[in-house]
Amino acid sequence: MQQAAHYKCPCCGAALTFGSQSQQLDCASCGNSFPLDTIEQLESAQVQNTTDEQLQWQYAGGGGYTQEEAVHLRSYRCQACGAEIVTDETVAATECVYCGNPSVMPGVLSGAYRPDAVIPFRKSKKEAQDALRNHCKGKKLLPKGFMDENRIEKVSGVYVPFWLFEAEAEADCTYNATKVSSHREGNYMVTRTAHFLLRRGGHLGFKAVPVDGSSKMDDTLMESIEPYDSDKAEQFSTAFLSGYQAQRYDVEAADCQPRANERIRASVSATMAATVAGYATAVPVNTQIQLQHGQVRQVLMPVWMLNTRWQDKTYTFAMNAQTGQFIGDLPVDKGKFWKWLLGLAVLIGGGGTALAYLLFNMGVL
Amino acid sequence: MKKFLAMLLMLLLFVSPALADQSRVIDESDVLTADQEAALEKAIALIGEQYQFDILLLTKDSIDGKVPRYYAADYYDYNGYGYGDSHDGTMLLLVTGGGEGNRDYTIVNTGKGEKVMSDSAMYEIEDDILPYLRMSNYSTAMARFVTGVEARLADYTPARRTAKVAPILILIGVAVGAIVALVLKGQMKTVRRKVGASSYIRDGSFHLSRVQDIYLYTSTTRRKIETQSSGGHGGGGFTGSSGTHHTSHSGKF
Repeated sequence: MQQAAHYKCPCCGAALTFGSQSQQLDCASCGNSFPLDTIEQLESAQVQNTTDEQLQWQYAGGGGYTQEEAVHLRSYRCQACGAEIVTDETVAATECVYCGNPSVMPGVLSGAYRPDAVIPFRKSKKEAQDALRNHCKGKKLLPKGFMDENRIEKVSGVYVPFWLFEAEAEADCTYNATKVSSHREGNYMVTRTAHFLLRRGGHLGFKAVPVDGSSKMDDTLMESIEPYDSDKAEQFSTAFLSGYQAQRYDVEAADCQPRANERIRASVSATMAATVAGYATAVPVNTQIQLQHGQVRQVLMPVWMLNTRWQDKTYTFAMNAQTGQFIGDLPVDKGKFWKWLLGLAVLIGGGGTALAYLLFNMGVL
Repeated sequence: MKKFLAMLLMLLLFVSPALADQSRVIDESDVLTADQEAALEKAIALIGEQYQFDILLLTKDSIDGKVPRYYAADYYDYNGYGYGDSHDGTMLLLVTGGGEGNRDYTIVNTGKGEKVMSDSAMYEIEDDILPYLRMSNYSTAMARFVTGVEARLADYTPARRTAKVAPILILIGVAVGAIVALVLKGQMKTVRRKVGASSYIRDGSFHLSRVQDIYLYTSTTRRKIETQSSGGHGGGGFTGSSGTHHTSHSGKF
């Protein structure tokens, strides 16, 4: 069985985790912090003795997993407690379910799966929990008790695999446009409509349009916490994963491409349409967008996922751990909704009517 | 000084029985019988008592080329018609032409009369009385004028006016309530697909290589402007020589 990588403190031997504040590997036990490359050099020196261990697939044949299931399962041995960690093949980092030690799975992010870059966590778990509280604050239609009664079931820091699409767009658009003027001639109103054909050609460059490469993550949820600043991405190292969960992609870049194209096209169309000014109407008749020099990169993006439970329903929230952007749909109290609607109707309609009667009676109006 | 002179002039002009007993029906053209005059006086007196609102009916053969609404307004003002400080009331002046001259009518409103006799109210009353005026049936025209004004006064009570605006206010209330409630509901939903990729446009990468605006043709449409077909015309607001504000409608018949 393969050993799960586990970054040990060179000082006291406790587990090291990547700190969102320090941007280093921190030891919670002795308080030391170590730069990533120091630990990596240390690890590679030690690993040399053990790399002969080959990738072994642990089939739990006859034990319960079907052949099909087993193909997607991997088992590792926790380096801290020696227990067996069974995960699915896309999990690149997790915690040992028995001792809670952070474990990075070797090989999952190797070869074609090795990310080109990683955006490290900048926001801590506590910031994510505070953000949930802020998210609920001031929401008038939030059911009473949602804030106090709901239990945060799980907060997990996840590195989500994204494909970043880079492309140059050449656009050639035509619009039917009109200018309208009207003037009076005797008893007639004369309206003149001048018709134009507009042509706009231009160039637009896109850097790093992200598309979620994990089928486990909800695509809409992942788009909602955008944008990410990929200029701040770091060279990939498994040390960044320590203390977090990580996944490798299971949706191929080719399958993500249509979504990137769709978004790029929408932005190009909008940008070109914005150059049409001074017309009463402008209707696009033909929009041609050529995408060139397309490049794809694989990057791990940091996300805090929060699950809360309230009245037997699970609510999922996500936080962009680079920018702090926090999203998640909240339940709407239907009673409060109608109270607001009818309350204002009565206040404005009834109050207005009473005021009108008063003013009419006093002869003010 | 100017005002005083004008007042003096008016007093000289309008030395008539009206001053003495403050009749509300002054039939200088003599187009009404004594019975008709008495009936109108009685009706006007009742309205005045109930609504604190004056109605003056004046007929003249000729006003010597003066503008009817100014003549009427001055007659009303200098003879002290109207209830209260704002001289609430309305009047109908009929210039009967004495058989050959101009036949004019004018409605002049003062004080509360300006509100009671709205533009649309005056148009309705004009439409109602003009056929009778054209037939020289003055008594019916004047009786219908009085009835028309009374109906508008009955509509002008606080309760009736409130009943008119209440549905609009309630509708506004429901609309505002719905908008606010929907905005609050919208705040609860933050998980949305992105439409474009505008955050990822490379700075300074946008440039236009072709801008062509080709003129094709012009199409023209003509629409006839509908004009008010009524014979009368609104005079809008004006201030008479006495300094009192009035509104009026005038026309020929």
